[in-house]
Parts: sequence; structure tokens; C-alpha cells
Amino acid sequence: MSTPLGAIARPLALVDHRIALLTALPVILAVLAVGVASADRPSGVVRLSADEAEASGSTIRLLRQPVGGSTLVQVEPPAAGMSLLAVSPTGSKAALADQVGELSGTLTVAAIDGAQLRIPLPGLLAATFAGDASWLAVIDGRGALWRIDADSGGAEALADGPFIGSPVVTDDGSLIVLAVPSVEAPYRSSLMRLEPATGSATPLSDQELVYAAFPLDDGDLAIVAHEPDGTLVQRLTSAGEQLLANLGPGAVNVAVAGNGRIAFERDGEIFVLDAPGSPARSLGTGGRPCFGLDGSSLLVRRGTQRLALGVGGSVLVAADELAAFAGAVGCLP
Amino acid sequence: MRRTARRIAASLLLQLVAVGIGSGSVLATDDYTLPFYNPAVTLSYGVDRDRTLNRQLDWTGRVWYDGLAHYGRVYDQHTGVDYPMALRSEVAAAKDGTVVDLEGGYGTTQFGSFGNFVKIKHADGRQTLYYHLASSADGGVATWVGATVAAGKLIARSGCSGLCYGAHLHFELLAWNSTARAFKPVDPLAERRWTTWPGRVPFDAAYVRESNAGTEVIRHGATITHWVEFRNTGGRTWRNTGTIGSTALATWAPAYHVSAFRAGDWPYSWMATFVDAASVVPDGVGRFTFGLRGSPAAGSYVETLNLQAYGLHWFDHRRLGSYYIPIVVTQ
Repeated sequence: MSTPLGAIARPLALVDHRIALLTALPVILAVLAVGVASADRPSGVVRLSADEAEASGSTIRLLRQPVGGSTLVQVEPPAAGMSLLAVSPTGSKAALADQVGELSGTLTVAAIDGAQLRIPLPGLLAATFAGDASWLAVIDGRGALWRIDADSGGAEALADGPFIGSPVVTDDGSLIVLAVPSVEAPYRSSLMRLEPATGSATPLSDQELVYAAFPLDDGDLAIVAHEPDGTLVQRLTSAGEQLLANLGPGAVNVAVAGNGRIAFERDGEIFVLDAPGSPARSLGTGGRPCFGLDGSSLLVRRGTQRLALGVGGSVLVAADELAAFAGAVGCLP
Repeated sequence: MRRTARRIAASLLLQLVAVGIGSGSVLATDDYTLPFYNPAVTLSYGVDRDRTLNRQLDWTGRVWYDGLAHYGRVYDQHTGVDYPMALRSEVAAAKDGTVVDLEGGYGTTQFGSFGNFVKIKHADGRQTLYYHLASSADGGVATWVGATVAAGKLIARSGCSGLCYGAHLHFELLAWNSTARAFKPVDPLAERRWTTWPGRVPFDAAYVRESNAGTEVIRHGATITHWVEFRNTGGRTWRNTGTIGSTALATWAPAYHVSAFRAGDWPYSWMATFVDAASVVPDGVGRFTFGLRGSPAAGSYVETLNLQAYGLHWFDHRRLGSYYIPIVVTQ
């Protein structure tokens, strides 16, 4: 069932948590309830070759397209209603859900050669590929964390959680996750490092409401945290948290590129900060920005369209509904 | 006749039932209130009091072993109480407190991990959470961090932001758990308080009777005394302290109009009186006594009045039997 871990494109440095956080560890461990003997293991994995998928009219096509220094992957599903959860770093595989959330669902792992794996799970919220695309970290509809083998469909329950948001897979196989009291009302979310091999969980920040975490090119982690007076972007280092930007109140759907560029949405308008301390530039209307791996372009929603924009705001590609940058992490489905 | 028709029989039976609900204890009042004004709203899913996966203990005490959702009862691992309501419905503070946190930047129906919320801390050390709210730009969050709010005050409008499948309010009562050293959800329904009982919205009333259910005849320049009684069918105790939230009878249609019949005992030109008694508990009957002065010229008139939680919220006038007083002023 287990699969050797591969290297990921941008390795994360281990972040030393502060002593103060150690006091909270037992509490959070209790929340996580690692070791899920009670979790249901999915059965009924279906594997389809490209020919079988075509014969059954369920072909999923992955169309790779270079945009700036990143790869945009557009997914053509066999039917409407599917959601794109993640694309592997090379764009060779995509993870889709027949429906996001709910208490039952099917995770489909589609390969660029047309082969498919369909894995039934107790609902689906998010997924992220490991660097070599051999496995995925998946959060099910109740917030439990799974490790899914991308070749066999084998599933291993890692922790009950509940967790929310897109997990980050590090090069050593540990997972960066957001632990929440409940998936439907995440008024508090703690950033945790989870070691699947040992079941240990380590808090990485004392922020009480972390919205997302993004790997930076230099190995640190950028986190987006809520505070009553605004949304903060912070760099997590071994020395502590360093403020990169205070986006003020009303900033949502924040994305941070590996090079530190920040994009966010406020009142239906997209803004970009090119570097810490730089002014926010408007890219016009839209929402849900998500950077490509090199940070020179971003995918946004504008009305009913999905657009790939340059960081200057120019439209590079008008994409299909199901599109994502290869290897993008931390973006909502 | 309408005045007769709207009379409601004395609800001795209801009071007996109410005592029974409390399992022998007196039901608490002036505590946590249903966080909305519409008495027709009922819960869809309550708190799962059993934190074991695939085992649910619902608010009636029934245990389910299937991990499935049971409408009207519970679904597995649910931490709050869900109240389905139309988008942008009014959401009220469940108890006096201070707003300590909020988010209003997400779209009213924006689906995703996080959504809009308001969190209030209360003097008893507990907190209440209101989730899936509409966006601030859409009137979703109508308060601010640090604001002091009274029970029943409008604080937000509902939405479907975050992980939400159908518009509803997710309401949580959080208590400090010293073992976990964190606030943990508790079940507000478990306390069986009047204020969390289905239909017991903060402010609601039903007409009972009045001193003259027909037409008041007032000689021009003279003042008469009139009283009317309403039953407190809401979840909060009525008080007459004259402070925020006190129960008052005031002019309606239009609201706050200066009454042509105001007498010298009216607190304001638009308010006839506060409730007579110091307190009227839920299901009790409160009398409102006030003067009517025949100031206008001779003729036939109507004065329409409604109850108001002073400074907070108007009652639903229709549920008061659309109360008004026919008045004839004579020479």
C-alpha cells in the first residue's frame, strides 16, 4: 500500500516551532486524533485504461500549455459537474471530484495518457499531489486525511482531523495541514506538520485562524492568517514569524507565489503585491487568484471565465472551467 | 369581530407543559436566545454530542450508529445547530456580549473552505459563533470587533459562505474546556432553556385582551386610560427598566410616528408606555397601560401600535393581531 516518497519541486525547510507552542501540543494532538482505526477504508477502486475510458464515453483529457514560466493544465471532463482538486507538478496527472464536500464521493485520478483511477471516499474537500505524483494527500468530506496511491488507488487513512484547505506535501513526506474544530465552521484553524510515519503532529504557528500555507522558493513557508483587524501574510522561519504584508480587512482568497508575490481578492477585485512593502496594484475585477509555479502569471475567475493573467493584468489565456497551474498549492477547489 | 377573534385563550395548559419540559427545573430566562427573529425557522441539524466517528447522539438523546445525516436531529461530528433560512435573513445576538472576531470578506454564497462569521464573548465566559454569513458588502456583517451588543440585537444577515450546501445559519455555543485548554462546542439545546426552545425567538407576542376592545370615545381635550395585554410568546423576559431591550408599546404604520393621541404619561411622542410589570417571563401576560388624549378635532381615527424591544427590534405586528385602536373624538 505504501509508496516510496519522491522529491518535490520545491522542498520545504523544517520549521522549528517555538517553545510556547509546545504547551499547546497535547491539546492539538487530542484534536487531531491521529490513528484512525475507525475510519472507513474505501473499497471498489476502479481502474480504466485509456481505451476502456474511451469505450465507456468517460475520457478525461489533460491539455498542457506553457504560460509564462509555468504550465497551465486544462481538463476536459466527460460530463459537467466535476471539480478539479489538484494537478501534479509536471501536469501529467489531475485529481477530480464528482462533487466537493458531502459525505460520499469519487476521487478520479486522470493521467495524461488517458488512464483513470476512481476511488470512492467519504466525500472530498481537497487534494494535493506529491512531487513525483506517485501519491496524493486527500481530505475527505468530513475532514479526515488520506494518503492515496496514484497508481493503485490504495488508500491509507492518516488522521481523523478534521482538516481543511489544501494540504502541502513536503519532500520528506510530511504534510502541512490546517486543523479545524469542524469543517463547516472553521472559526479556528491551526497550522500543523503531520508526520504520517509516526502519527506525530507539530504546531507551526500560534496564529489561531490560518487560511492557507504556501511553500516559498527558499524553503520557508508563507502563511495567510486572519486577525480581527485584517488579513496577514507571514513568513514562517526557524526564528519565528515575519510579517510580509497586512492586507487589511476584507482581503480573502490570498495566494502567495514561490517568489513571494502576493495576490488577493477584495470586494470582487484582484490586487497584487509584487514584494513585501510594495503597494497593492489592481488587476481589475475577478476573484480566486492562484499563481503559477514561477509567480509570473496567475489564474483567476472573472465572471463566468477562467483567465490566465500576467502579473501586469494582461490576459494570456482564456481557460476552460477546469484549469489549474501544474503543481499549484494552496488554492481552493 | 376581529377584536374577539384575536383573543387567545389563557394557556394554562401551555404553562404546565413548559414546566414539564424543564424536567422538574425552572426554565431559565434572559439567557441564550434563538439567534434570529422568525419563529417559523426550525433546526435542520443539531449538535452531535458524541464525538466518536460514525456514532451520533442527537439533541433528543437518541443515539445513531450509522454516521449518516438525520434531518431535524443531527449529523456526524456536527459542532453547531443549523437553522435553514433564506439568504440575507436577519441574525441576532444570542445574549449580551462583545464582538471579539468577525470575517465578512467572502461572497454571500462563495463556496470554499472558509466563510463569513461573527464571534461574541459573553459575561459567563462562553462564546457564540454565527457562521456562513452573507458578505459585509451585502449587509452580512452588521457589527464590528469591540462592539457591545445586547441580546436580540441585529448583528448580521445569513448567507451560504464557506463549506455550505444550502442557505442556513450555523450557530455554535462554545464553552471553555479546561482539559483541552480550548473553547469547545456545547449543545445549547441540552440546557433546555426557554430561549433555545423551537419557535422561542427573542421577541414575539400574542394579543390577549384590552380595556376596551371596541371603539374608544374621547371627548375633545380629555384624556382616558387604556390598557392592552399581550402574552410573551418569545424567549426573553420582558422588562420595564427603560433601557435597551425593555419592552415598549409604540406607534406603528408608520413606525415612530408622532401620535396625535399622546397623553402626558407617554415617555416619548411615539412611545405610549413600557410594560407595566417589572418583568414578564415567557408565556406570561404583560399589561401596557397608557393615556389617550383627544387632541385632534372631532372625528373618527385609528391609532396603530406595535411592541418594540426598545432600541433593538420591532415585534412582528401581524403576530399581535395587527393591533390598533379605533378612536372617536367628540366635541
